[in-house]
Amino acid sequence: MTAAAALDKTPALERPAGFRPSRAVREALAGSLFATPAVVLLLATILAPLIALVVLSFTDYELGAVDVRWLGGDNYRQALGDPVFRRAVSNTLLYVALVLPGGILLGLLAALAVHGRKKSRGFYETAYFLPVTATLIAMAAVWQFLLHPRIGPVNAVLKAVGLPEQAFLSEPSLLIPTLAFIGLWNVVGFNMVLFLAGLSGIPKDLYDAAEVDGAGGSVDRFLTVTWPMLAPTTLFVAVTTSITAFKVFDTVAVLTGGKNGTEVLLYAIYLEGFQYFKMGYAAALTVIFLLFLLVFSVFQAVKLDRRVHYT
Amino acid sequence: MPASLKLDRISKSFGTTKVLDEVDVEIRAGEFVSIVGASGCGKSTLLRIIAGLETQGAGHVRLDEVVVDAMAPRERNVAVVFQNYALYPHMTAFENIATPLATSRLSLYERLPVLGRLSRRRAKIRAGIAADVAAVAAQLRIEALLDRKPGQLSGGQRQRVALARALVRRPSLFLMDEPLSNLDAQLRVHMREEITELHSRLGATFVYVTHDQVEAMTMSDRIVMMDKGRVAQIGSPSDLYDRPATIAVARFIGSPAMNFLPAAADSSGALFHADRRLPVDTDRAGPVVVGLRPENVAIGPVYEGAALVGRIRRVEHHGHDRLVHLDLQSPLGGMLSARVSATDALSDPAEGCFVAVDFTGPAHVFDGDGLRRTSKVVRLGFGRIDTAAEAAE
Ligand SMILES: Nc1ncnc2c1ncn2[C@@H]1O[C@H](COP(=O)(O)OP(=O)(O)OP(=O)(O)O)[C@@H](O)[C@H]1O
Ligand SMILES: [Mg+2]
Repeated sequence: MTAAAALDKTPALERPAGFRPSRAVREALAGSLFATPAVVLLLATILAPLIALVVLSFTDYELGAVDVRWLGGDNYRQALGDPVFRRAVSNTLLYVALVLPGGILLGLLAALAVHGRKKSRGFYETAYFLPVTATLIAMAAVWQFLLHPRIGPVNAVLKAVGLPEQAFLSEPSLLIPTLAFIGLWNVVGFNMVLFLAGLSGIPKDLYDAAEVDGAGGSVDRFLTVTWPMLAPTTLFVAVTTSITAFKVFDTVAVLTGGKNGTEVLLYAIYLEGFQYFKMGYAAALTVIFLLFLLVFSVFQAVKLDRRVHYT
Repeated sequence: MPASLKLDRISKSFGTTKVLDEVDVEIRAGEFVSIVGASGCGKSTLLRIIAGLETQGAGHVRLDEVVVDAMAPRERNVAVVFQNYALYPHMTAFENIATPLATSRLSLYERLPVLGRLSRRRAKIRAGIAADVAAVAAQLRIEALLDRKPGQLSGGQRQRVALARALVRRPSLFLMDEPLSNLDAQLRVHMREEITELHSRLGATFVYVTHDQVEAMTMSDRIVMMDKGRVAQIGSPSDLYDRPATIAVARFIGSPAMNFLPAAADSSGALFHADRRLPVDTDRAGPVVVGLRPENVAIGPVYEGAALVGRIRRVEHHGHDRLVHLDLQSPLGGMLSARVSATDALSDPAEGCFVAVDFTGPAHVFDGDGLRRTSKVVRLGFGRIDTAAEAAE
């Protein structure tokens, strides 16, 4: 019988102090062991690429180039002075400003309309959700046809009711709103499903209480119960919608190709990095893009914690 | 002003299941009436119909003799306290209590979040509302809790806030659906007193749904006992206790529960349990069930010719008295419990002993349909052996 085996038979309390690490240390060790796989994955898949990106953004690295020079903040300085990039930023912000409130409002309205239905609910849910499952690139072709100046049905309708025809996909001032409309079409179904989930989580009793309290009218019901109880859902919808909107890319790439001043952030990054091979510069733009998302997410996460937890 | 309430043949079905069947109830202004019954018998549905939250399939609801079937809950001027309180979780206690006042005193436009501020009279009305909320909060001693949200309140405190919200606009009829069922036993007893006291102070009409017969017995002027969507009996607590109209009422009311013995009546109305003559007579022949409250069962030493003999299975000590559970020594088996005083000579019966069982008070006889039959106990106490019954065997 080995010494270790003999020791194992002794009750824990009788072991000489200091022979094994204290309970706290052992727990800490075991804890770190359990956390290791998650931490390694996080490092390898998210943090390491992010650090590489930041490092890259301070260099003039080009795809396939052999020597790399350290530029310091030059890429960033160039980006801030670049009129194309500045237009990409303002276009993206305009796009988000159109899609975010529209996406929340229409998603909510669709959910409210569908929620009360019993038999037709499945049909409406599927119908609204279809655009989410459709590939935007493929659907862009359909939109191109719909909005075509000569053969498109949209302009045919405008003409029929006596309104001036519009060049939706070439008139510069209409381009971003048109893209935003398609983005909206794509995102409303998803938001509706989220709102529907939120609506079914509202206790029925609260509506009964509202009715007894004299808040039984539809506006009162909405303001007293539905809207406040949906606050957590609304914030979540706002976060996902704004991130989706910030990442607008495919419709721009397919419908306008970034021409006529329709550059958006992700498209500008794509051009610099994969068309002009200026990886260092593209990395700097990506860092700026991520900062935008970060500001949004942090703002919303803080609000989420402060205001919308009722328990 | 308290309102009187009249339910006139109310029926209600959900799909094909009949939940309420011709419910007729009359409640006087200022009365405290409990609706009791087993789970699923339609108590909540009835309450919701009175409140106007549910529409009945047939029949009428009358408040102060006026038919209110077409009125919204608010127009009926009823207040409801819900089982899980249904407080608005995003509002403070103050805002919860103020809601019914705001909806009645401010116009819809004045209640809107931003636009409402444009109204000139809003500030003044708001001040009036705050004063009324403060007054009702003082009544229920929740002044200190007014700026907390429901999530930050204990069950009892939420209960009080819910009561305050119901009280604040002085309704003529209070409806409560098992308002105490989420509280612990001690708090429940306390709130029971508080609600009773509130009732006498306000003088309003209270309709109180509960499945706890103790609550119903201790709080109400009258009890409506429901059974499978029908009214089984309406009466004072002592009516229901002393003269249960059906076997369901007998089973439900009283704790510890009533004992039941299967028996048969011969043509003279004498009752037999497995050929032993029970000391009870009824009016007609046929199979019956005899109900006996534990306090009307006496036990004593076994004697020659005792109608029933039991073997003591377990003795429960309740302080002032004891509950003795017996296995009946009869071919039909069965159990019986007897409530004996702790100071009784036989107060400490040993488990496993055999004892004679006698009836010392009213026995309730129910026929095959569970309906009450007239009955009388023919002999009382021990030792009065009816040899004629022996001879009949
Ligand atoms: N909205 C509804 N749809 C279908 N059936 C319902 C509905 N509401 C209640 N029921 C049914 O009606 C019957 C009576 O329900 P109710 O809630 O009135 O019972 P209750 O006496 O209050 O019971 P408990 O003591 O458990 O609260 C039950 O069988 C229930 O399943
Ligand atoms: Mg109920």
